[in-house]
Amino acid sequence: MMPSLTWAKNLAIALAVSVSLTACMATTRNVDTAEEVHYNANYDFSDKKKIVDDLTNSLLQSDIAYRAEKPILVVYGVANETSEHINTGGITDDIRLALIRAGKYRFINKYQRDSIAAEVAHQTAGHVPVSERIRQGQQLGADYILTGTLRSIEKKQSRQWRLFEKKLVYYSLNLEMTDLTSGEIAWADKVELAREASKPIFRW
Amino acid sequence: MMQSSKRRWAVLLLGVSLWLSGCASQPLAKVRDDVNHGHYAQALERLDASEFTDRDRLLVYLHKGLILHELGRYEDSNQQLLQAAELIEALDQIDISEQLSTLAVNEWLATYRGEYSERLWVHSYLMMNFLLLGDAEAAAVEARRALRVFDAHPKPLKNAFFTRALTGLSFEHVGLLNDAVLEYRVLADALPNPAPVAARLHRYARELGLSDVAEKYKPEDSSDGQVVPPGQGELVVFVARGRIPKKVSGNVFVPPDIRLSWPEYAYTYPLRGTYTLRVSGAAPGYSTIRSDMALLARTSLAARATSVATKQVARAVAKHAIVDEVSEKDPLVAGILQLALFVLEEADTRGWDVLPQQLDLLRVPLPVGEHNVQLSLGGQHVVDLPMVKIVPGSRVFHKVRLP
Repeated sequence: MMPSLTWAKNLAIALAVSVSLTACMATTRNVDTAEEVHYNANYDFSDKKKIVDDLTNSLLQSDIAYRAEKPILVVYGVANETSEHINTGGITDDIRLALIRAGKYRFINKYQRDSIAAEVAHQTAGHVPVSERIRQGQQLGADYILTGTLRSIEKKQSRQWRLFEKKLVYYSLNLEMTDLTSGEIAWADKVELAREASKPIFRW
Repeated sequence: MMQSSKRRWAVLLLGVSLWLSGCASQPLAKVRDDVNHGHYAQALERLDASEFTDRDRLLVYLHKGLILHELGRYEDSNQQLLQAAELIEALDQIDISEQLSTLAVNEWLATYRGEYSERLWVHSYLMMNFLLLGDAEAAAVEARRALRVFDAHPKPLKNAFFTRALTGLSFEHVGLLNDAVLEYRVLADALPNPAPVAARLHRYARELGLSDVAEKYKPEDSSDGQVVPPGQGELVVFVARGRIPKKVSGNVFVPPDIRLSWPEYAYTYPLRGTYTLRVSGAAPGYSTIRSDMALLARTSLAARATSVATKQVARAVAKHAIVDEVSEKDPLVAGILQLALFVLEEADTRGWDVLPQQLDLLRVPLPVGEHNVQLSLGGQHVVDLPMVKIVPGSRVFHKVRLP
């Protein structure tokens, strides 16, 4: 009787120790950026990647991309109309990068205009020999502006008589290219994402 | 031998109860004292130096966020308040083990989750900070998050006029006039007198082609000077006054051994005194939207009075049952235990108690140019704003703290 009791006690201790150790163990792993990962219903890098991929493909397949002379674009940004603090500059940066790599469009660096002006002013202030100064008045003029809006709608399920609370989040990103000469919207497309997540209302 | 050990434990429990009832959340009480005396830097140091449990984590974020806002460190304030907002969302789940422990002892063992009004004010301060930092888009994000809190607790937050006006302003500032009109309509219907918002609502409704809304809110006096004329700009001032009352413990003793204890806000008189605004020596027309924070805090607390009362009755029954169980075995231990549980029945008086008592939103249309702006209260407290520079269509934000 006694030996079996000791054996059971040891087993219980070992089990308790292993459970507590497992709970305390911190883990780290590299995640493939192509892998779709979501921890909750909110916007994350997988969503950004899908938005960028879909809109880049759409832009590359548009008629504008096949013109003899590469269209020149200036990015005016994507307005964030969601209820999350999302840096939409990351979306437009990645779209611009993909389009530059594809070689179908040319871009004006709107966000460095002040730096360009400062550098030009420095060169023309007498610090740089005339022969090495850049020629002024040679900057590219944009054919189109690229703008967009990121929106979200969020709905939570009522808590009454439930053990789990569901949350549904819908995101849409509308991107459009406006012809600076005519004011016409020359291209537009959108990406939609909807995700449902649930979490227990109670926890121990 | 066994009985003596039990008695020692019971005496120890009584000692701990007396100690706990006297010193709960002492560092936060001292922070309030520091802030009341205007020692903001000292309050921050105290918050950084003190040890807090996870149960008070939200209060630490809230206190730090507000103190940093008062100091004009808006980015640092946002860091704290964004963490507070995230934590409030995470605390949405009901922790059963924690609830059971509060049933046996008191509510101080629960993680502080914030009153409904406090959950809203996190977003009010974030909106103000983002507007003061010039980040209109982020302020609009916070406006949407504030709307979620309004939707979740419509009754206790009905009179949160300042935040509702700030939400409308945040939408208006990024050009979302439809959303702004929706908020101004809710505000106009909630205000005792819609005059401070009617002219603005009338103008935007007309611009959007909402003729019935425009007609409904047509101001009686068209020259009230509250709407920015084309080509001019606007100064927006957030004015904070006073200090929100502290939560105190209300008590009822039911002989022989039951004590019921609940939190309530100490009574404070509404603040008196009127503002005088001078722009380069002249008195301009302007609108004011005011929130009585003390009143809102009381309304929010009252909204969960039923659940507080239910929990108290359940706790009284649970404590009675525990003492009954022990008294059958050892009446002396039961007596000491009864005294300890009686002492431990202490109302949870934690709160975001460094908030002001009143918040005002002043909107002043101004012509293009540079202006010396002076705000005074009852002719006593005079505040000179930094030079206000208005360009066509601009909106300039400032905050003022008054006693």
